Amino acid sequence: MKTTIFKSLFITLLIMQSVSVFSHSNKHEEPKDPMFSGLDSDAAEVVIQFRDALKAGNAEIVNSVLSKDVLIYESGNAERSSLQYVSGHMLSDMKYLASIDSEIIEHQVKISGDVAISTSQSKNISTKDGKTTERISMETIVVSKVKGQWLITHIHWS
Amino acid sequence: MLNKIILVQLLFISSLDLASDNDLAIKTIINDIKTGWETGSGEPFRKNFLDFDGARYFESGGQNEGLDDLINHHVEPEKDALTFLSLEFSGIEINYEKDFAWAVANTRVKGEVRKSEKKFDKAGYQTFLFRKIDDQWKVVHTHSSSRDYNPEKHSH
Repeated sequence: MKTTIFKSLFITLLIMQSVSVFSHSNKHEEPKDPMFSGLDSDAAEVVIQFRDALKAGNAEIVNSVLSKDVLIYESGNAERSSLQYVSGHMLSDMKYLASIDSEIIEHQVKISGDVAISTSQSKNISTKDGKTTERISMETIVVSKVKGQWLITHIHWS
Repeated sequence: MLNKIILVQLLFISSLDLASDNDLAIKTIINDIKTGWETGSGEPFRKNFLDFDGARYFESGGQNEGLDDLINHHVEPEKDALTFLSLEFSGIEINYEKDFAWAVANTRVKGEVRKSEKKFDKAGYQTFLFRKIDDQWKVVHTHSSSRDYNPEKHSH
């Protein structure tokens, strides 16, 4: 009889403890970082792929995530198609990105139906003749779902 | 058959009307924003921008976080800092995707810094992103970039 009471008491305590541990872990969940949000979406994945491909010099991937009629504003220039960008500024962008250390300071992606807005800020550090220069760059990207595929339709770099 | 053709034509005309209504609304907002910058008034921004946590407005390597920051630390101080400011948006193109729109424009910014009397003349580009909320278009993000005006390069 005594053993049964102890067993029941032990099981009850065990259940209470596990409930307490569960609620405890919920209370102390890591807060989401507002500087980096929406990055687990498919649209964000396209932006990250694009950025990584530019840095790695992979023209094929860059071209594959750009809409044919993409509009790109960059350094006072406008490019109005993926063909124009890929055959124009892309190579100098790849060279530049390969020559610098770039750190993304913040990146947010917000999705509204078949359109996503990606905004980010990066710190770019370049070294020339032993002199280090730091520059902040801003990026706005519009990603649109075209026939079920997320493609970049607008980029504004400054 | 004739009825079908008429119906298709009516639908086409009504879609054109809707597009022109939206174009007019967005171009009016862009014009309000121009006036706001030129007069250093936050009112057009409060009226036409969606005030939300995490709003970001980019300008040539810098940003304002939130509507208050944009108005209090950028728009309104320029009234005192500049003798004059002239802002022109041209070649406005608007793209729609249901309740989302993005507009792009060429920009020309001229002004004079009060303290140094230094004049500037810049040309560049502007991106506006909009969301339609309760049948009203609201600005959710802006990005502008410009460089010193070069008559040979900036032929727009």
